[in-house]
Amino acid sequence: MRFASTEPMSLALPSSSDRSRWPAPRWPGRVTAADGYRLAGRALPGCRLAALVFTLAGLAVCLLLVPGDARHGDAARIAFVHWPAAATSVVIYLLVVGWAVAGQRSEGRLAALMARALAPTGALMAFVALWTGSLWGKPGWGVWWQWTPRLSTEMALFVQYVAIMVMQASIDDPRRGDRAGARLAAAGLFLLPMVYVSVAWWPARHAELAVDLPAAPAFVGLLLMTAACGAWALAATLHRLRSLILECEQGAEWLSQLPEARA
Amino acid sequence: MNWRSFGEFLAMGGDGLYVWGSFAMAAAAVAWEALMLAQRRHHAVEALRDQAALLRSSARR
Repeated sequence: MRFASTEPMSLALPSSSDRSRWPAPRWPGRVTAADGYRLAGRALPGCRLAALVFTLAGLAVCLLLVPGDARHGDAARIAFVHWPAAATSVVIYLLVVGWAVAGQRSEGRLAALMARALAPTGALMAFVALWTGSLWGKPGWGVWWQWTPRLSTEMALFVQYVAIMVMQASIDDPRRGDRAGARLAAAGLFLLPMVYVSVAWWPARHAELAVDLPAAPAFVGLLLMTAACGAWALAATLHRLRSLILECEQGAEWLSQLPEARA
Repeated sequence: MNWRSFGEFLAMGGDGLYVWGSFAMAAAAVAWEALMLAQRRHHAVEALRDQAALLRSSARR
């Protein structure tokens, strides 16, 4: 970064509408913040509807149609919330890293904003996974918590999410915050394979290989609840992204053209 | 349908506290996130409106 000695240092990036000041894009058809805002806005209603439909269908299947598990009885129904939340938390982390790295390689901030938008949802999913897992652990295995590899790595993933969010919130300069978040997220990437394979490598008291739910309704229920989780996470992320774009692009020309700008 | 009565449904074979505690926390998490998102958007749109009004009034002058 070069600082002009007489000008006050500007921490804000040129807005996406101020194209003369943007560096030349590396690829044709670069997606601007305005495009991102509009695309997200168009996708949102569909995501919300999908989340609602999948949730209702999934709840109907897992609460009403699936019989109790042979080993854990009705407590095994917690799996229908626990597993989708845990899987979503892992997938979202992967997306956070992907978007954060993409944000480091692009001039615009949209990719970095997408990473910022994903992180809180991922953190919430990890929290739900930990909470529901604990509530399942008590009736199923007699313990609220154990420092087994799977539980510990999921807890570490949750802490990692919080660390990324706190780090980015504490850095005022947006670009530096994006860079710090990208580095921290990439540093935590090793957690994902650990969460996934920890059950196979260190057999301990963890459930997924041991639940005897009959195949068809349980599988459909799990699929529906996972789709519901994914659709909700996408809807929340896109909504957050739109707010982030509004905050980031303050003062830009295209914002004043939006219908939201007229009271 | 598995359940013979609503009472049975609520009891969940004795594990009702754990099952409903899990589903309730998941629902609470979703609701809380939705609330936070709505708040954030509200503040962002308000700031946008204030700025747009400022631009319009300064353009008129």
